[in-house]
This record gives sequence, structure tokens and C-alpha cells, in this order.
Amino acid sequence: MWWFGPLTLTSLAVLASFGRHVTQAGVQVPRVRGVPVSKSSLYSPDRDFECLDGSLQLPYSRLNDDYCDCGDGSDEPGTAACANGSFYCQNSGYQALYIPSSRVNDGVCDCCDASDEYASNIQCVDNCHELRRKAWLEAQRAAELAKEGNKIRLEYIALGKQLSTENKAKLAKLRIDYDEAELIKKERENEKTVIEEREALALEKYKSPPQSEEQAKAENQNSAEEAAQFFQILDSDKSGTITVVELQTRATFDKDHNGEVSKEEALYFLNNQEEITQQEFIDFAWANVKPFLMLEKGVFKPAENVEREHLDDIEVGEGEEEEDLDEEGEDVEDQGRASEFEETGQAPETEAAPEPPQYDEETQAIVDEASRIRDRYREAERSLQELQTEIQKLEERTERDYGSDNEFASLDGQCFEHEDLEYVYSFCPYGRTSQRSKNGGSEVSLGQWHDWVGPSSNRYSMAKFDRGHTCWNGPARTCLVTLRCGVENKLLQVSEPSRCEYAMEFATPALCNPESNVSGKIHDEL
Amino acid sequence: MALYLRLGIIIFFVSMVGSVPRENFKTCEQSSFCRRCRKVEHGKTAYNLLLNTTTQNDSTLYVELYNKDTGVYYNVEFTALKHDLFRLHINEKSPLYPRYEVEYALQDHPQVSQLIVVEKTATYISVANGKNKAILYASPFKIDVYSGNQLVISTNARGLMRFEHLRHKPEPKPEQPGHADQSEQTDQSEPAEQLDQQDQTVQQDQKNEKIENVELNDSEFPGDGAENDPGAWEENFKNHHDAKPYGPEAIALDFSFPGAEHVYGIPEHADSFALKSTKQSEPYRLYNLDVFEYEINERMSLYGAVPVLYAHGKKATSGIFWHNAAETWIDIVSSADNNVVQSIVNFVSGTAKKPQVDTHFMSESGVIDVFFLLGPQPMDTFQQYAQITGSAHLPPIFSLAYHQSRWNYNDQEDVQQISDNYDKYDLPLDVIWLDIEYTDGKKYFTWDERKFPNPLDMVRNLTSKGRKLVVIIDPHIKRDSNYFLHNDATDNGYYVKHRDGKDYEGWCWPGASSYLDFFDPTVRKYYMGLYDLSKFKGTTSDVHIWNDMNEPSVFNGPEVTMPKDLVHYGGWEHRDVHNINGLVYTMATYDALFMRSGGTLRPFILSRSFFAGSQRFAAVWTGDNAADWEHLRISFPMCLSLSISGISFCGADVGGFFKNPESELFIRWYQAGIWLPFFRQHSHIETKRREPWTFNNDVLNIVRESLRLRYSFLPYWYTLFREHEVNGSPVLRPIWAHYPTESESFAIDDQILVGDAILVKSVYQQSITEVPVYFPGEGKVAWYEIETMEKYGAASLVQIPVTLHKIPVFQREGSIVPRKMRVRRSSVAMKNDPYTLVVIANQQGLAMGNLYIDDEASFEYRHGKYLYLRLLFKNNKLTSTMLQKLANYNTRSWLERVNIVNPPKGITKATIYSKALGKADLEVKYNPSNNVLTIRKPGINMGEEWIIDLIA
Repeated sequence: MWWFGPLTLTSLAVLASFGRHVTQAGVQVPRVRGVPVSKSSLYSPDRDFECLDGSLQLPYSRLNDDYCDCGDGSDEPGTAACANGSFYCQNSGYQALYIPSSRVNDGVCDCCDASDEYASNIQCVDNCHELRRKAWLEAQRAAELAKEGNKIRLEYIALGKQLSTENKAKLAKLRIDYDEAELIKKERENEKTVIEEREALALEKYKSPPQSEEQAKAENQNSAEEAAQFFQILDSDKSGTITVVELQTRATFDKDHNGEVSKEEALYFLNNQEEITQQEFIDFAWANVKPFLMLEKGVFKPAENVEREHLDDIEVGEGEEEEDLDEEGEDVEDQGRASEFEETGQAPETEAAPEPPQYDEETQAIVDEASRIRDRYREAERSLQELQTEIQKLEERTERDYGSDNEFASLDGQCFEHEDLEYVYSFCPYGRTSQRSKNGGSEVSLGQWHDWVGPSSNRYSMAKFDRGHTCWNGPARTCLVTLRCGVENKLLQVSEPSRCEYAMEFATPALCNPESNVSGKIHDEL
Repeated sequence: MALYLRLGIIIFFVSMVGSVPRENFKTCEQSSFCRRCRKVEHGKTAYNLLLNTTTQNDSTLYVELYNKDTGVYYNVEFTALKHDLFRLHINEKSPLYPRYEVEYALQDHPQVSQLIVVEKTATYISVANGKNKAILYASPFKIDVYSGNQLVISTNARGLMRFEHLRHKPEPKPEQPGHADQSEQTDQSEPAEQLDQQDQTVQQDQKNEKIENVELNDSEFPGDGAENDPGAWEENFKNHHDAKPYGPEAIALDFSFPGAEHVYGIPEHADSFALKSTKQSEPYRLYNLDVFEYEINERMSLYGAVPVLYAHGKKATSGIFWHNAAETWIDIVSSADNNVVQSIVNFVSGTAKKPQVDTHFMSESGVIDVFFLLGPQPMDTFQQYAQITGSAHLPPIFSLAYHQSRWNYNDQEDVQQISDNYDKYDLPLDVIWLDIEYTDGKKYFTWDERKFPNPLDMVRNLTSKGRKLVVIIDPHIKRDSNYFLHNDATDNGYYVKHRDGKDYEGWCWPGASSYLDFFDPTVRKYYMGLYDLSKFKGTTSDVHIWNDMNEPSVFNGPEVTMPKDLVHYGGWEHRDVHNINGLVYTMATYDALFMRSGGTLRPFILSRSFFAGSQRFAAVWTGDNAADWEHLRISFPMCLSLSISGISFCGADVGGFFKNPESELFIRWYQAGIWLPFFRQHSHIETKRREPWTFNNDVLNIVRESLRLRYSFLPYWYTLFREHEVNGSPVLRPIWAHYPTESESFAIDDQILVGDAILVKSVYQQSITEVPVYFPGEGKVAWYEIETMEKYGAASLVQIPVTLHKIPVFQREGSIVPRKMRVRRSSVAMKNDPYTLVVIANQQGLAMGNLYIDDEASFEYRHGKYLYLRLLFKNNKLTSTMLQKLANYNTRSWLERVNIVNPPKGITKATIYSKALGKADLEVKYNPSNNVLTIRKPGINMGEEWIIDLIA
């Protein structure tokens, strides 16, 4: 029978509260149930008890009498009476523990010394010593593992240092190389300028004799002729004048590329006149018209930029597959250009070079030399660019967080796989995580490297990958990799706790540090 | 990531993303019988009672009814039942074939009472049943039912009755196709016994007889026009064909409720509690369907159907129970719908028209079988309904505690981790649930052995913490020749069949699936055996069952369910029994779990589909809701509707099934969810994890407080469920259940009463800082906020400030609520814990409450092993007396404290008297901050009777 009536109940509780005696400073004091030795003095039987928050004084008999008097729950450390109380398990031989009061006599053994179930149906056994033994063995094993792993870790650190030094040296060298290459490039640029001047001079005699005024006049003449020619084309009704309507039929004049030639656009080209004669066209309008005709012929490049920008806009919404889209974009651009040519009925100027003229030996030598030097210049330019790229890459690497001692450096660039029944998973530190179905199909990215995200005490115990492939009707996949000490690098387990949120477990010697608080904790306490 | 889902299922989902696919479900106009019934003209009924045929026995009046348009005769039975009910039953006098009469919905045969013929004239007969009476008018046919002297229900007053007699397909071909169909019908009903074949023979004979009659009728009578409907003999919807071999067979009847301001009931709809007029919209539909991503403010069908409707006005409450399991549509017109002209007429005439609601029930097949519930008080009416369809057995207490579910916990480590985390974060939890993925390829009664290699260990780990496991078992069976259940069902003919006798094959979670025919007692017996612990490996008596998809859901079927022309046991078409399919399934599961424990332990079953009477077998939840504020809001009205319709054990997925709740919505949902009887968090497989610790510490702390509040009220919930079992009182109640004259409350459905002592207001708007609360009692009843004990109620409508930490909840003056303030990790761990009584006296110094105690798990209480205490506070004395002197239960629980809110002044101490202990002094302590006097530790065992005196 549990119930003894109010009076018996109280006395039982009091009795229970003197369940054990502990020795403190050489004197035997009755220990109040659920209170650690360090706090026993607060629960002295010699005086009334004061709630630890100071709110109330109680006779000592009200301690652990299975009724919560103190607002802070401090009068019932050994019963379940206070909703906000806690119970102290001594757990002699093992780790001491506070449990919520609600777990006292709740039919579940929470304390290894069985002290929390002193009046419930369940029979708990004191297994603290066994737990201690297990924990000791476990700690021993972990220490062993940490020790073993630490050897490799130290190698990693050395390797990391080496890599770091190497990288730094490499970078320094590259920077020198770069400066050098820049000098070479400049040198060759000068050579190129010189030879090209000579070349121009040498080729002069193969051109019509230069008369600058005449040439200018001729150019004007040419231009006027060209203008006249276009006037004839544009004057489609052969009325001797070009009108707004006539321009509106030509896509060439769609300045803003909105698909139609507005009146304003037409007026721009017609010197702000509704109608224009051939002379007026040559004198005033041609200057405005010509660039657009050239644009149409592909002589100018700016059109390309315009379209590129336009395409960039589209890409924003499309997301990941930028490269593919770029290629497609170019296709679209080409098609666009081709269609414009079709419209004007003119073929694009072919790149095919005309038959090279025959030069005398000396000129030919100069031309050859010029072309050789141009090649050398281009080569210098290219190697400068390559150096630039390499420097950038290396700089990125040296800035990467390889751990406090560069212990993760050697993992950069490696990938580790794990197979379950359906999938092969891959984890590439500093790269990405992915999943491949064994039944074929393409690889699915579970995320790209984001950063280390472990708690500040153990930053390198967790790595986050995000921006993976987007789930159907859902977010982009992400992956959280939990790392722990192991004597070899091994992807142990992969799960998907929530849709599109993956979790990996990875063992690596890089985390085996016997000095660190985390792996040494249990050892210390025992 | 849906990679592993079968392609077919992916397609199914893709086609339905976004919102409810309304076009996949019929409108009334697309349903031929609804179309026909809705077109019946007012005031032109073709039916006359033939009063000269009247006969009677002690309880029933028998009289014939005649349709002058068709020449068809009907039998009318009008019966007096105990507890203020009448029953009206109408069937064809000699139907061509038997018409379906619903089985399983009624608890037993309703108890009859004495029917007295008061008066009989040439034009009417009036009969009495105790203080209530009814007048049956001959021509036009009409039945007026009176509660006392007040006319409350008028039947066929608008003349919308329609009873389509069974007939032959009117094609004068030599080989009548309708005839041929019937022969097939006979041939394929293999499982039917000899008796059934005899029936068929009789039908054949009747048919042959009638052929000439029909032709004769054609010439004599104008007919009911059913033949002219293109859907009379076959019907197509989308790609689905319904053969309709029996042709038109609809029934319909109208009921007017004079004096009623609103009507309620007929769940399940995601709509307001007070039903809306359907004058400008579709009628309310009852046809159990798996509606993907259902929306609120809809009269569309959902997963379940209870065709009970209540009418309430200031003066009376009444109701009708339409005992029919076929597809049903209900039109509602209220006096508020009167057009402007009528309003002006009323205004000019100076007599505001008396409020009235008119309803019109239309069903596809079966017979007319109506129960009139005559109140007069709301609670009387609810209890009358429970008298005929039963109440829930007392749930095991764990099922009233907190449930954590998800589609899906991935494996047994996952389950262990969830349980561990509940301990780690110091949150109480009683049950973890496993959705369909625990099975081996959706083959129920099997385990995915890779993810759950040791289910028994998993269960043992849960039960060692006082927790339980619920696993899902669905009614569709995977067509897989390596699956024992499929093979057994195929070999023994256990599946529902096509008209040609072949097994029906549909598409559900496992892919190609067939469906056990639970209408066949042999199948039920087989199914019950599957739950035996020796057969269903990995389960123990601590594993309980979730029955989902039992509408039944058929992904590729018409309206996502079974074709109506499929054939069940006894030759009945699916059309006849559709709405009760889900009930029959849970009935079998209930019997199975009952048998599993040898009848010692109370089963717990959760069902998505339901019908009238389902409360006897299962709890229900409101199905696949979504993580938005509107769905949180609708959870209260939906459960209120269910609660007054007999199904008290109702809840909604906390957090919303689809989509991800943001933290404020999540918190509000917990705060509201703890006040619905069934309290489970559940979520879709595509959602993020949402256990309480997955948000942040603030959320975790607030949710913990909500959970603790729920657990602290478990004694109150448990007592309410016991009282529901005994007298049929709904656990959740609308305000008007106890304040029937306060018309301002008639349409309030965001406030509920839990029992009669707790008033809860749901908060369902984002970032809101105050909410209006209606305090019933017309300023004469005080309501105390349960935490601060702040007093309200002097004004009826008050803006109450709210913070994120709680929603407004109040305890009524005059009540005593039993609670347990030591919240532990599960309800099992709290079983022996002491009680706290919260006493709030009214102005007369009176307060009252009840407390029920038993072993919380077994059926021992049915053998008198329980305590039922009446707690009464009067004249500064609190007494506990046994309401059931013969019952007894050896409890270890004792009385920890009594909190007296707004106590009498100057109390300095208390004394307790009991037979066993004599007299003892008790300390009291007054807390001025909340105006509560606490009696310290009376310590008395709850099994004692006692008196506590407050002493000034």
C-alpha cells in the first residue's frame, strides 16, 4: 500500500530524507535526499529551512515532505512535488547528475545509483560501477583511437604545413613570374609597335600614293556615294525622298529593339524631318544612319553586348546551369544576327582573307617578322593570363580554413564515398556532396561547400554544404557533415532526416586530438 | 526528394499541386440524382397518406403512402422511441429488389416507447410519445413533430419528398438489357449464401410480375420524370463510367425547423460550425472522399459523413438523423435568406417573421429512415443522438495525452532519437507514430526489415519510458503474389468485386491494389486474426492502430474512390454502402484489438473516414490540413461539428500536414491543439522536421508550457470522456450548448467549451495583440483566466490582450476542475500522482465538479473498478462523495492541494474529516497576487470520502 494517510506520509518522507549519511569535513551529517554534499549545509536540521530564493522559511520537517512549498522548488529536492525542481543523483563511482524532479519515482531508472526510484514499483539496480567501467573502457578506446589518429593527424599537420609553405612559395614564385611575364609582355608590345610601324611603311608602296587631302576628299566622296546608294535602297517608292513610313519598314532602325520602328526613331534618322531629299540625307542624316547600317553588317560589336545583357537578365531566373545557358545564349545571338541580315538581303562580310599580295623579298621579311612578333606578343599575353588564374586559385587555397593547424589541408581535393542499398554518396571536403543512384541516372548535388559550422568549442566537427540541386517542388538540397575522430578517412553514414536535408557522418584522423577538451573530457572526469 | 516514389504516384501528385482540384469532384448538377431531387418543385407533393390503412402496435404506427404521379405504394412506419425520439421509416410497399437498409451505424435496436394515438380524423392522425407528439397529415403528406407543445420539425412541409421506386430500364427490346444486367448480378455474387440467392430469385419473380405493371403504369401515370434524366441508367464522370444497373432510386425529404436560427452538424466539411445557406451555392455534400489539399469555407465532401443535423433557436433545440449511407446532398435555406420584398412585407405587416431554417436531404439510394431528436435543450438533443448511435468507450489515458507523428520516422534509431529528445528537452510525450514507410513496400502487417530490424526492441524501449507506438494499417492490399495477404484474399474471394465477379483493382500507395470487403463477416474474421500478436510480428499490446485511406481512397477511381457499381457482400452496390465503408473497417480493427488482448485492454484506433456511430470504434482527425492560419482556425469548428455529431474524440494535425509552419503559427497551433481531445503533431514527408526543439528556445519553452498545461488537465479530460461514454454528452461544446438563449453566441465557432467549465478562444491571426472574447452568461457568470485567475464576464464581449505566451482560456465560476500538477514524461508516469482541485465558487458560494479515476488502460472499469467522485463546495465546505457507491478502485493517488479562487474572506485554516482518519487540521495560504487560497496537502487518498471545512 502506498497510502498511509497524511501524518504517516509526512513522517515517511522525513524518514526517507535521512536515507543516507555522508561524511563532510570529518563530521557525520544527515544528507537530505536529492541534494549534493556541497549544498548539504543549506539543508541543516538544526534550523528552519529557508527557500533558496529566500522567499519563505519552513520548519525542517517540511523538507522533502512531498509538498512543494517554495516557489523555487528548493524544499523538495528529493521528491517529485515541485514542477521546477531538480534531483541530484550522487551516482557514486560514476558521473553525478541532476534530473528534473518529475523523474523521481516515475517508474524509469534515471540515476545509475537507483536513488531516483526509491518509492516506485520498478526495481532499479545500482549500475554506476558498471557504467564507470564501460565509460572507462570507452574512454580508453577513444583515447587509443585519438592517439592512433593523432599520429596521422600530426602527419596531416605536417603535410598541411608543407602544403601551406609550398603554396606560399609557389605563390611567391608565381608573383615573380607574373611580374616577369608582365615585363615580357610590355617588351613584346614595344617590339610589336616598332615592327608594325616598319611593316606599315613597307607596305605603303603597295598602296595608291597617299595624298592626304585627296584621300580625305575621296573618303568623303566614298561616303557620299555610299550614302547615295543607301538613299536609293531606302527610297523604296522611288519618289526622290525618304519618308518616315519608308524607314519604319526597316528593322535596322529599331533603335530600342522593341520590335517596331517608332515614329520618333524614324525622325531621329531623318534629321527630325518627315521627309528628306537625297542631298539632305547625305549632308545631315547619313551620319546618324551609317552606324546602324554598319551594326547591322556586324562591323560594330556593341550589338553583341546589348544582347548579352538582355540574356543575362533571363539567366537570373533560371539559376544553376549558367554554362549551358551561355552557350545557348550565343546560339540565340547568332540566329538573331543572321535573321537581321536576311532582312536586309545582304550577306555578312566573310572572314576569308583575300589572296595575299606578292611582296618583294625585303618587305616579305618585314611582314613575316611582324607576324612572328605579333605571335610572340599574344603568347606573352596568354601566359600572363594563365599566371593570373593560377595565382587566384592558389590565393583562394591559402585563404581556405584548413583547421587550426592546417590539418584538413590534405583533404582538399579528395572525395570519399559511401554506399547504401540504393545510392552511392560522395563527400568532397571543400568541394561538394552528392548522391548517385545505383540504378543509373545522373548525379544529384547535395550541396556545395559552405563552411565549418561546428560549435565554437569544436568548430571543425561540422561542415555545411548548401546550394545543392533543387528538390522537386521544394528547396535546394543541403547537407550537414558531422566529423569525428577515426584512424582513417571514412564516410560512415548518410541519412536524410528531413526531405532534401541530408546528414553525413565522416571519420577522419584530422579530428583526433588527444589534447582537445572534447575528446579528453570523459577521461578527466573519471 | 521523391525519387523513390513510383512514377504513377508522382504523376498523381504533379497533377494536383497547388490547391484542391475542384474539377475532380462532382457538383450537384453533375450528379444525376442530386440534379433530379433539387429540381423538385415546392408545394406540389405527389404523396398522400392512406389513413384508412392505418394499423399500430404499442410503439409503431403503420400506414400506407401513395404517389399519385407514379401509382406506387409505400409503407410508412412511425415509431416512438425512448428518450424523446420518433423514428420515421418509409420504403416501397413491394420494391422490385430489396433496397439497402444501413447496418452498423446504430448501436443497438433503438429502445421503443409507448405510442399513443391521440386523435384520428379523415385528414390527419396525431400521436404522442410521452410529452412529445406528432401529427401525420394525409394530403398533402406532411408530418409535424412537436417538442412538448412547440412545433419544432415539419417534414415534407415544402413538398420536396421524392422516393424513386425501382423500375425496369424502359427499353422495350426483347432481351431487356436491364434484365441481362441483373442476371449477371446474380451470377457474380459468389460469396453470397443461399439466402441471398433466394432473394435474387424473389427479385426475379417480382421483376417478371412487374414488367406489365410498368407498361401499364406508363399509360396511367405521368411518372416521376426520372427516366428523362440522361444519368438515370448510366452515368459518366470524367473518364469513369457508372453502369447503374438498378437505375434511378433516389430518396429525398425536406425538414423545416420553425424557430430555429441556425442549423449545425452534418460533418465533415471545412466550413463554419453554423451551417450556411446553400441558396446561392452547392448543397453540402456527404460522400466520403480523399480530397487532396482541401480548402476551407467549402461545402465539398471530405473524408467522413455523419448525417445528423441540429436546429437551434432561442426556444428550442431539435435535430434529425438521416440514417442513410449513400451519397447525400443537403440544401439549407434560412429565414435570413428572405428576399427584400418579403422583408418589406414583414416590416410593413409589423410582424418580423419567426426565424426558420428549411433543409432538404437528398440521397442516391436506400430508404427513408429518419430519427427526430426532440431536445428540448441542446445537451438533451446531443444525448438523444448518442442514445441511438452510441458513444466512445473510455479511451486509454495515453490516447488523450500528446502524440508525435510524421510521415515518416525513417527507422528505429530515428524513433529512439525522437523519444530521447523528448526527454532531453523535458517535454512530455506518450505516443510515437509510424506512417506507411515502416512497411515492406506498403504491404501492411509487414516491416521494412532494413529500417526496422528489431521492432520489438523499439517498442520495448518506448514502453520502458511509459510510451506507446501507433502504426498505420490501410485497407488497400498490394497486388503482389509474394504477399500472403493478397494471396489469401485472392484465393478466398475476399476482395470487393466488379459486376462481372472479377476482383476490383485500383491504384493506391503500393501501386496496383485491391480492397478487402469488410462488409463480409468472413473477411472481418480473417482480418481480425491478422492483428494477433503471434501473427503481426513486431507488435505488442502497447502498439495501437491508425486506419487511414478508408473512404476508401483509390487514386485512379472516380472522385478518388471506388466506382459505385462495384459489388460488396450480400450483392449490395458500393453506391449503397459507400459512406459507411470507413466505419465498417474500423469496426473490424476495433474487434481485432479487443480480441488481441482477450478483451482486457481498451483499443485505441485513429480513423480518417467515419460515419454515424464511428465513435464506438475510433477517434478521428480532420485529415490532410495545411500549415496556414486558416487551417488552424477551421480546426475548432470542424471538431465542434464532429463533437455534437457523436464523435467527441477529434483533433487536427498540429502544425498542419502540408507545408511548413513558421514559428508563430506553430506556437498558436499548440496552444489551440491542447484543447482538442485528440492532440497529435503530424506532417507530410516533404516538410521539414518540426519537433518542438527544431525551432528555437523560445518556441521550445512555449510549447513545453502548452504540453504541460495539457497534461495537467488530463484528469478533467478523462472525466469528461467517462461522462461522454455514460450519457453521450459531447466533450467539446459550442457556447450555446449551455447558454441556449444567447443568440450572439450561435455563430461563434472560434471559442469552445471543454466540458462546461473551460472556455477557450483560439488565436489564429498573425502578430495579433488582442482578440475579442465572448463571455457567456449575460454578465451574470464570471470567468477566470486559468493562470492569473483574473476575473471576466461582467461584459459579454471583451478585447483580451494576448502575447505569444498563451491564448485566452478561462474557468467558469461554480466549477471544480481536477488537475494533476506534477507533469511527467508520460501519462503513465503520472498515474499515481496526487490531484489538485481548482475550486471557483459562484456568487451563491457554490461550486461543483466530478472526478473519475480508474486504472486508465483496461476494461476493469466495466466491472466496477473505478471511482466516480462528486466534488461539491457549499457553505465553505468542500466535500467529496462517491457518485457510484458500488464501484471501487484502489488508487494510490491522493489530494495534494485545493486552490480556492476568489475565496471567502478571513479564512485562517481548514480541517478535514474522513471516516478512516477522523479529523485533522490543514494549513491554508492566501496568495493575494492571484486571489487564490491554497489548502495545503490534505493528503487524503482519493478513494476516501471526505469533507474539508474552511475556518475563519
